[in-house]
Amino acid sequence: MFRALDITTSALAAQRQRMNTVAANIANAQTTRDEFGNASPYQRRLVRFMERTEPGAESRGSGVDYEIEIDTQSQPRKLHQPGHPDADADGYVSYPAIDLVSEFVNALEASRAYQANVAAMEMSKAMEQGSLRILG
Amino acid sequence: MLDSILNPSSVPLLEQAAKFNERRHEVLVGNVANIDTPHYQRRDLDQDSFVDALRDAIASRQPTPTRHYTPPAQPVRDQFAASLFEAREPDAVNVTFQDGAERSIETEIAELTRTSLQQRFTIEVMAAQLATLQAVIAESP
Repeated sequence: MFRALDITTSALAAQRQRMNTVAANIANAQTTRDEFGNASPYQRRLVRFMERTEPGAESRGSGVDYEIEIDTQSQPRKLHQPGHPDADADGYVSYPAIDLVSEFVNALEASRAYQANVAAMEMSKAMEQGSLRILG
Repeated sequence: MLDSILNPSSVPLLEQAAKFNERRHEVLVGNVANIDTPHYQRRDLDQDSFVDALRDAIASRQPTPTRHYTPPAQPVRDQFAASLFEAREPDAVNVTFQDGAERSIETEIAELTRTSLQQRFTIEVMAAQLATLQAVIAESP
């Protein structure tokens, strides 16, 4: 019975991590330097979900695992800002390839999925409390 | 002794129903957890097969017209195959996404609610039967 709670917890953790990466992406939307102070724009982080593999999980319910990936494919936005300390030889500054609209949509989806899992957890709790009633 | 008291009642059938609901709840919770997992195929337990097995089990428990009580030859739990409690991937009936996964949070939550209510019903009936048994033991209502 408590397996249901474990499954939901894994999803709650995964969706929260997704929300954290969205927050980091939005916070760093204008970041032009990396953590060492070099002029390289922040790269978008993505959360990849995958089914948690356990023996025998195919015939039962399974939780979700996640990995944080770095988007290395999107090209940075180039803005002509000569005089900016991070401008290149031609006067262009590289900004992170972050689309705020996609990030907000992603945040919305993560939030709704989190709520759905909270609802599932409430039902698991209700069922377990019901089962305890047999004991008298 | 206790088994011969409990077995003719519907408690063993309710036990199987409760087990089925609990397993189905786990599987549905897994579907909600993996709602954003690419290529995840939703799973479910086969309700129709379980209802058929339940019907067969009830039919086989009809009392035979004898003077003496004869306990059923086959225990109830043997009449329910283990495969009834294993999830499978049913054919898609909802919107299918580009990765082939079928996602419908509404269906999952609705099914979760249904399972939850069925489980509550099962437990209530079982508790009532056990309370009757307790009353008999205590010789008082």
